[in-house]
Amino acid sequence: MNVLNKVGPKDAKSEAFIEAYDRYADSIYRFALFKVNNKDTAWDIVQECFLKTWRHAQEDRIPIKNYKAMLYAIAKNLVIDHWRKKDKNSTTDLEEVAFTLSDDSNLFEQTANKEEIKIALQMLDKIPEQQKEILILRYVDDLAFSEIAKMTGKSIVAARVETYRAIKKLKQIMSLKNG
Amino acid sequence: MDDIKNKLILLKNIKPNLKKKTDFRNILMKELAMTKVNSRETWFVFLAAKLKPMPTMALVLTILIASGGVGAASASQDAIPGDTLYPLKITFEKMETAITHDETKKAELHLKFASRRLYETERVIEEEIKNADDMRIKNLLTEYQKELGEGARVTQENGLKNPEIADLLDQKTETNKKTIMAISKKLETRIQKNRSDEKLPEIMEEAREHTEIANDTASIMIFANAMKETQDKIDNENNRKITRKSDDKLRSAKNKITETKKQIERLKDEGYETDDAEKRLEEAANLLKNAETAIEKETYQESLLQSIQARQRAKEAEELAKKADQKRSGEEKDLKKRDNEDNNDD
Repeated sequence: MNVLNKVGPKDAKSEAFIEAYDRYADSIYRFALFKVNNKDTAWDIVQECFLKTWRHAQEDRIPIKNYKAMLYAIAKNLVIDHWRKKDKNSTTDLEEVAFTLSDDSNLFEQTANKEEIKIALQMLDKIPEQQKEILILRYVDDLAFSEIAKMTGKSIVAARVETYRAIKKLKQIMSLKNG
Repeated sequence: MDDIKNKLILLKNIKPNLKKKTDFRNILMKELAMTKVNSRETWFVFLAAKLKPMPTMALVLTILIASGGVGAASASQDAIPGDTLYPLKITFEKMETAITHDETKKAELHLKFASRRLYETERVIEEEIKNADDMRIKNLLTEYQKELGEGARVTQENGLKNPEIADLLDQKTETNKKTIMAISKKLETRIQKNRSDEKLPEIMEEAREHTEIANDTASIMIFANAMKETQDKIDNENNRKITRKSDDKLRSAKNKITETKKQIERLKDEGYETDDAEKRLEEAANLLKNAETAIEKETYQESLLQSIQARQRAKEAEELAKKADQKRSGEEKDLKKRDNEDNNDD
């Protein structure tokens, strides 16, 4: 049954919320995934994040202007909650993480991408967590430095500097690897 | 630098499962469309607070409630005892019952869950690969009887106000009787292959008896509602219903009496004491005659009550026959034991 045809958003608030889901669900998923290293947990966090966001949207008289910021903030808190209960030192299962690819790409691309993604993840694992987070927010999720700054609690300048340092570190790692 | 950025950009290809994403979107759409947000919010907050230590379960339950609690796609729906998601399935069911206040819907839920327990029993028996143990089967049958009992209780309390509950109980128990018969046959095969305890059929019989009693409750309610609606005159539709129920009950009583008679005759042939059982069976037969007479006179309510009593008497006769049978089995065991001891002495 196609629910979308039968039950559609009836007001601006609902429309904005669903639009936010369509636009940011993937990003929030990636954000959670790189933090918790588990697909199922990451998806749970995404769902809880959106449900909580909807609750805020219902409760608050002032409409939410920036869904993106709210979603990331809630997702971050959910990740923190998760880590409070789990062993922080558990490593990323690269096979687990790397295989979920876009359904649009063809098989050849998927296979090629898989290897590249694995390499990218291996690289990211070698740098500090904070730098990893910033790089993902910037280059994977296309957040502006102002948004990164809000999320990480840094100034915009500090966010830029940290990004630069992270890239430099990765370059060093790659040169060592290539000999 | 570009090389690194390009590698990072590739990570955009990591996305959630499309089906999960679509399913959740549908759930969100339903939630948005709901008009009674406040009562759901209460449950949302309640659940989130109570189940915080278990985010996955809290989330799944929240989604279930948010989506209306019924028909929500859930991976746990097909779980059977032994599966990881089975406890979650049971928790869903308990939550559904807890938040349902309408009596008809409550009865519906209990009966639905009772049917589920039977279905799970059948699957557990069939899935020999999973090494189904008897304890699981016994527990399922116990749970089945509990849910059925609750459904029957709600029907008794509300069947006169809500006639549809009685109809529902009637339909469900008729179906359950057939399922139990099918399960009993599979169980026989299992016992023949020495995969199950011989005592399991007794437990099945108990479940069957409870189903029959619940069906009796439904029948009485149906009759009461029919009479209430039309005083002494019964319209065509109700007439058909009542006639059918009377015939069903009469047939059920006859079958029970025949079954028990065979059992008693077998024991009698072997020289066992069956006087008490025979007396009780005679009472059952007399009640059955009264039921048949009542049908001829078209006093269907009378027929129904006589049939129900006839079947219950036959059941009592069966219990008495079982006692004689157990005595025989006990004596046989003693005899074997003595034989063995004698052989050892030799």
